[in-house]
Amino acid sequence: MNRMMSLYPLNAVKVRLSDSAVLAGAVSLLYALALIVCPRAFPELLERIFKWGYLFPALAVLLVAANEILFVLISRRRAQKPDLFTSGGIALLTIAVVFVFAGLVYAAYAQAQLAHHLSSFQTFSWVRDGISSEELLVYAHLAMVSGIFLPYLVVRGTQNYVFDANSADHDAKVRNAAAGQ
Amino acid sequence: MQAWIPIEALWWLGLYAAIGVLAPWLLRWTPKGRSGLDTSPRKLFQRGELGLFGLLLAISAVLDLRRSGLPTQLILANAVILGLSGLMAASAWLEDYSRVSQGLANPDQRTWVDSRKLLFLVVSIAFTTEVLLEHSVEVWQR
Repeated sequence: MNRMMSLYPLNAVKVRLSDSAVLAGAVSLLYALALIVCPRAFPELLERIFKWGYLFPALAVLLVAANEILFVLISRRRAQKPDLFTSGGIALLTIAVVFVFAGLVYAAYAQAQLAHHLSSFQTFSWVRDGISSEELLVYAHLAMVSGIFLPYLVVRGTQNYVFDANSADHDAKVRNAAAGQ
Repeated sequence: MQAWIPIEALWWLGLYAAIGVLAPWLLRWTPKGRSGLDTSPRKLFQRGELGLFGLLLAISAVLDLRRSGLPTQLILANAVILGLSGLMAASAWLEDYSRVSQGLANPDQRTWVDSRKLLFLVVSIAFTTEVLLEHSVEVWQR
């Protein structure tokens, strides 16, 4: 690993957690505002898009675009070159986070349908035949916030690792040079 | 709607606000204060104390979620995200404390900006969670 890193030294992109926190917080507030302004239309719209099967793919596309724009802005502000490796990593992590939440929603949907089918043998008429719009609202909110915040949390963690590894590599080179003299 | 922040937490918050904000602000009006004592929020919370407030807020929202009656997996997912953002907010204070205790330089400006932005994230998520809970209660009552 160290030999690999000495051959291809990684560029430690300086990202701070607070950079993504503002975007995630603003998205969360906008979501709450949409729910306050349109308490019926907004959940119905989300439910309709979910039934068409476009909710989570659309969320993934929007969040990847938002995260990439944010990454370019952070790099420009810190006067560093945005590298393809980190931006690709951010895109992959964003998609992974969104699809984890999609999995949770589909699991809840399947559970509700199973409960509905089992209850059809009984007299429980109150059991729903799918996921409720309230649950969908909460899951969509969590997917949006964590789709922005979690990829940058991972990048922040790996940035420390890359910085430590590069420093260790630099120290080893200095020691070897001193020993050679 | 259930109590968002427990009464005990409000007591402690009030005490903290009184000691941490009001008392230094009142000092501004004393003769010594007029001679240049800086009591602006940036100076008062320069060590990332706002991050600790963020953690407290996240814990309050998680406690409220537990009482909401939502499905367990939904409460768990929401609590993980809230807890994570609260911990990251508190880490601004922790990072500053660790660096200062080791004698390393830590720019005040950076800690203040980090804790302020992460507190904004926690407040936003907690607020939206409360709006969603309120919406769920309304729908179930209908």
